[in-house]
Amino acid sequence: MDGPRAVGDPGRAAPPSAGSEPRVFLWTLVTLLAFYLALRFGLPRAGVWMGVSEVPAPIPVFALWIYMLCATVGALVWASSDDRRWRLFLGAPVRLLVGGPHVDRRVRTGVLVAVPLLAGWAVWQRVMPSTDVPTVVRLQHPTQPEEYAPLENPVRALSDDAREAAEREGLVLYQTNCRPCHGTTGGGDGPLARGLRLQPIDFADAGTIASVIESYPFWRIRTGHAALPDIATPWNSAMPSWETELSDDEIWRIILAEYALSGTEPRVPERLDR
Amino acid sequence: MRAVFAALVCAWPGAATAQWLDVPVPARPEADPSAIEAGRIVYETHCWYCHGEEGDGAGPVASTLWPRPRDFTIASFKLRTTGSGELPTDEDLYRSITLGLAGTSMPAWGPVLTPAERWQVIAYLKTFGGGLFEDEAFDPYEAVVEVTPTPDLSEELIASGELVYERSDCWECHGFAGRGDGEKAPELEDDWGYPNRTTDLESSGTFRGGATARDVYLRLGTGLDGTPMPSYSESLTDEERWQVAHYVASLDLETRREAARSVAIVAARLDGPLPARADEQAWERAEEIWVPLTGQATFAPRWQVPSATDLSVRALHNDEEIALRLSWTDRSVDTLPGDPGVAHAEGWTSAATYPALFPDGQRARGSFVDRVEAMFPAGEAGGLVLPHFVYGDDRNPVDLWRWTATRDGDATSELTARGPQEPPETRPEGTTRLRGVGTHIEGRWTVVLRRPRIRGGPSDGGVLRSGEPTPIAFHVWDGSHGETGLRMALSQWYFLFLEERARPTDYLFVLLAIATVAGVELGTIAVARRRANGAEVPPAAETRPR
Repeated sequence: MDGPRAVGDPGRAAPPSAGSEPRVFLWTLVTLLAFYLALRFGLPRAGVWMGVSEVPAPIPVFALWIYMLCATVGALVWASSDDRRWRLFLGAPVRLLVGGPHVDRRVRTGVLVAVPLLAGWAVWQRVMPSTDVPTVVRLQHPTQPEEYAPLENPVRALSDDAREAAEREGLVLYQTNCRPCHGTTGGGDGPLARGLRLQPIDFADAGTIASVIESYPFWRIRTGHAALPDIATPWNSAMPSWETELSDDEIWRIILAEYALSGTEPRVPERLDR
Repeated sequence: MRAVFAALVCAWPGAATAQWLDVPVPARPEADPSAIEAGRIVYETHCWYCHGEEGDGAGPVASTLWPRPRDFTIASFKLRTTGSGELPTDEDLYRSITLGLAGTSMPAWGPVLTPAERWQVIAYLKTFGGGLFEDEAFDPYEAVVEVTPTPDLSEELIASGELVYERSDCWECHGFAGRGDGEKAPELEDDWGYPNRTTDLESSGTFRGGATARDVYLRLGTGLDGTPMPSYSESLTDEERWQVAHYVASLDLETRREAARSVAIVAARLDGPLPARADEQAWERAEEIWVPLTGQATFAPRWQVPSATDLSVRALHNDEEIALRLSWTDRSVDTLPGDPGVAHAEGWTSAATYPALFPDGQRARGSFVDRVEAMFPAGEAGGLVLPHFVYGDDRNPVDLWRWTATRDGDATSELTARGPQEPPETRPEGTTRLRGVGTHIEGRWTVVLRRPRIRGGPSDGGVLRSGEPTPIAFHVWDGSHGETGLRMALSQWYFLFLEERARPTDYLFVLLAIATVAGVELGTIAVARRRANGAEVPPAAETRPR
């Protein structure tokens, strides 16, 4: 960790009075605080700034504490690696504790009273019942069952004219059955999406249907929420199990229309060389 | 004052509110015969499945939509800058295509179609109009209405608007509080004979042509052709139309609702008894959360046009009981006895995945009752696995607290459901302890549900505990809108928390922490002073922390 600039200035003689000595301790605290704020508020937004994600992704509290511990230890190692610096570093807290002519009494009293109160506040936060909504880790793409993996979209093998007609049928099926949630243009923004906490997927998003082979949406449309494992929180999913209402052929047509609508292509299956 | 503030927020440029009149429209391209052919391709890619290949509003998807897609063959359009009954300008059509029509199935095409494509499809859809657009006698540019400058917003302006609203009988359809519950509202139809729903003026997000006062003013001048909303250009002066427009904008609740979205619903703690009625002062203690509702679309019969779209929730509790206050917009009281309570009803059964809406213009009015439910996982709460949000499943049943409007007043029951396929089982009457009181005022139901904190259900083990989130979800039915069984408005899972007072031990822990840290601090001072002795003797009268 980079130390404060004000310190390493061996050319100059040490200032005579304590008041104008380099404030090693203060600057170390400021640096640690800046580091904490950067971790807590800056890092989660980095993804948004870089355009990778749309919402800030907070770092876990545990990781935050590990980082802060490392930073604090680093700061102490740096401060104690030089005798003079270490004396300067200890000077401020010692003066604050001991008091003296160079220490503002109001500042000293304030700090000495604030530290125990801060501890009390931290404990209060821990013991009072919280209203934090349980965070649930949700796996968006659970493994598809083996029997679905080798399936291919039979509509793609049709002649151009027949495929075009199939895509047209698929579009009408899509607009009738999928549009209310996934939206006319496939953006996951249909009229019913507004009231859903688990939002319907946006087919144009590169992380959705473009990232899977075509049999994957076939499995998801056919079996809906009911076939999801617990890790994918099926209880929050409004996705119907269409197998009882739509034929396999109709589902394949819908898939064709979804890729066309979103301007994406399914992922090409990876195969082992023979 | 609140009204003025709300109106200011709405009128603020750049607010989330859609603004129809202010959609930037690029210069209209020169008339070009090839644009019609290019427009046909756009239309036959994006528009035909709703509006029909012949432009008659009867595409293959149309029957499941409500309001129905516009029929272009009679060249009658809702959103115009031209007088009542006149054709729209090309710019008007451009604005509507760009922004879509809020509260309908027409999405915003701005993000999808380029400006050139929008102009092309406009050229093509005008060809459906039976030559009207080509007839110079009907030139819309001759019929554009004047939009005068927006007057400065003031409380007086809004108050005058309210008077004009009452004097001009706006309430006959829109209701006294503007919730679309006027006495004439239930009978209204559009020009094609389909039921028309009067706009709820508190929900600016459903205003077809934008929600700014300027848009509302324009609509008052032009009317919404094809719907029962007439033009007031003759009956109201320009000044009066501005007054009503600002009054309407002041009714909006959307901003307040969006500010009160939360997954956590905290039940405030009361020392005394819980309020039995909706209008008691004690409810102010509870924070109001607005839960968005959606149509049930996971299981047939699906429901794509829920009546209630937002539910206001407040919760209170004491040592013994919990009380919920649920409030939502519902245009009429529907209490007919003999609600079959089943999913399918005559005229609605269909093999289709989504029902055709209001076939032959029929409305389900009078068939079903108004109802609300709170749903909890049955038995012990907690654990990471929840029941499915539509009535649970085999593994994970749910408890339901149900209130139903009846002719004789309130009916409450407790039920258990194990999935949406079978109707929920009602628990025997003597074993239920749920009480409910509903009041319907100016197009809004407010229902208070009270029950002991032991939740009930087959295991009777469900206790609402402090400090633990209890999953909760909501269901709402509007009988006259044809809602019953799975045709309902519902929410996904939310979490209910019971606010708790600190226990004596909590204070003890805090004091202990303060004392320990202060002790360590004083000890360190003592040690540091001893070490520093000789150098500087600190003054004796140093202020010490407690």
